[in-house]
Amino acid sequence: MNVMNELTKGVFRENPIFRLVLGMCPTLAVTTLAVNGLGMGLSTAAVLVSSNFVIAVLRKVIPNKIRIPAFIIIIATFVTMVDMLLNAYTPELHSQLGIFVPLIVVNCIILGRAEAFASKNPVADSLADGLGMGLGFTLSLTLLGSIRELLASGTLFGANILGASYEPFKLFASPPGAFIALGLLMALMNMLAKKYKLE
Amino acid sequence: MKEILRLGFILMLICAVAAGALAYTNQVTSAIIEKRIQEEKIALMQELFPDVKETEDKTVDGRTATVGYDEGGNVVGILAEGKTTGYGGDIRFNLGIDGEGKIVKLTIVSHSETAGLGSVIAEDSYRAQYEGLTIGDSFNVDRISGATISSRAMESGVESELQEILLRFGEGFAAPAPAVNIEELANGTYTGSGEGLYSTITVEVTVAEGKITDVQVVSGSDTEEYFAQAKNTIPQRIVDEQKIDVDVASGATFSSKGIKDAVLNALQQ
Repeated sequence: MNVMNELTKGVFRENPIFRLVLGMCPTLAVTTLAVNGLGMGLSTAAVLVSSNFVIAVLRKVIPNKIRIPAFIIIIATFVTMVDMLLNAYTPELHSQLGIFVPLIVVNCIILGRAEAFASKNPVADSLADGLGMGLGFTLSLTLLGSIRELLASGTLFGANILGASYEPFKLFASPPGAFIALGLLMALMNMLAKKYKLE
Repeated sequence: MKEILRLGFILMLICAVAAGALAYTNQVTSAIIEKRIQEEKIALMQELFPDVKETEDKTVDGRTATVGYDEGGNVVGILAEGKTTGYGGDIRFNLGIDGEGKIVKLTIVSHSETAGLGSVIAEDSYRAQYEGLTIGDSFNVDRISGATISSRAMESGVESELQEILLRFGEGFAAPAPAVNIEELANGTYTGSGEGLYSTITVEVTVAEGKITDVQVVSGSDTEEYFAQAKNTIPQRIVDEQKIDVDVASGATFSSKGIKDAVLNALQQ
């Protein structure tokens, strides 16, 4: 396997949200604004890259029997560090993301990549895998957040796009709106996948 | 057995490294986080009470409040949380109280009142009715039609919590400067009144040859336990020290202030 392939697969072919449908809880909950989606995506990506790296380095040291607890400790450590750093340097984003930052610990993407990839592959490949998956997750959350923010309040990253006359489509700021937006995007991705024969 | 020990040891090693990394991160970030929380608190206090120069978190009898001091160390504002039971459960609110015991800001922290009816308590127009109220004022504000229970809960809750907070944190309020020159007063007996905690206190002050010779508390019905303490100490202190602004009796701040205000009121006439 080449590193480039590992890097790009997360963005589209094995996109964690639209193709693997992993980590739905934060996806649906925090994407009310584009900036929240971006922040959550970057936080998760940072944890994913770090944990993939450490787990790949330690993959021959950690005995098979205790690999899951070991992975969880490593992941939880990085998540807690990210939580503290967000709280210290970006307090506004931290209060927006709230409980979903600590919950990155149980995000299926991270443990999934640790178990399915980083524990079996060399360090460089694992780093690329984490980076690609993190990038895919970030792009997907930002896209979803942008669409919801644009429809619900006519703004994008806080800047007014659709003008004052735009009648806000408030549904998209609420949880049902998250499901609808996600469903439509997923359908679009499936259509694209079929068209370009990525199945 | 040996295998279990080996696995346990490896896990322990991983945990130790993780703990070290976390301790380091915490050390770096905790000071920044703490500083920011403090700054936010001071900013909030300064918004409510422009004179605040310093704040302190105090806990008295199981309740916590942020007390703001001015340059002279006088209490100019208190920010504390209160609680009352509404129609749908607990209503938690924040009270900002100025140096005279008046409510300057009431904000609702959380509530579970009926949406559209009781939830009106959280709206600006309802909450603004409490601004400027203090102990002794009527807390019967305009009620919300269709939400009598929520309204009543707020009225009694805010009033009783205000008392609780002032009882604990009211000490050190900036005292009014005595505007009376005792030496120039004519001989005679003066009557005046002031607000205690729950009642109006009336006093008779006897002045002879430019000195206060006697202070008698004529009426007042504050909680007897504390009121007695104030009655036993404050008149004597005023006579002894020949000034009105004497130290209050500990545990009976408001009754003491009531007596002092009554004496001032008597001599100002």
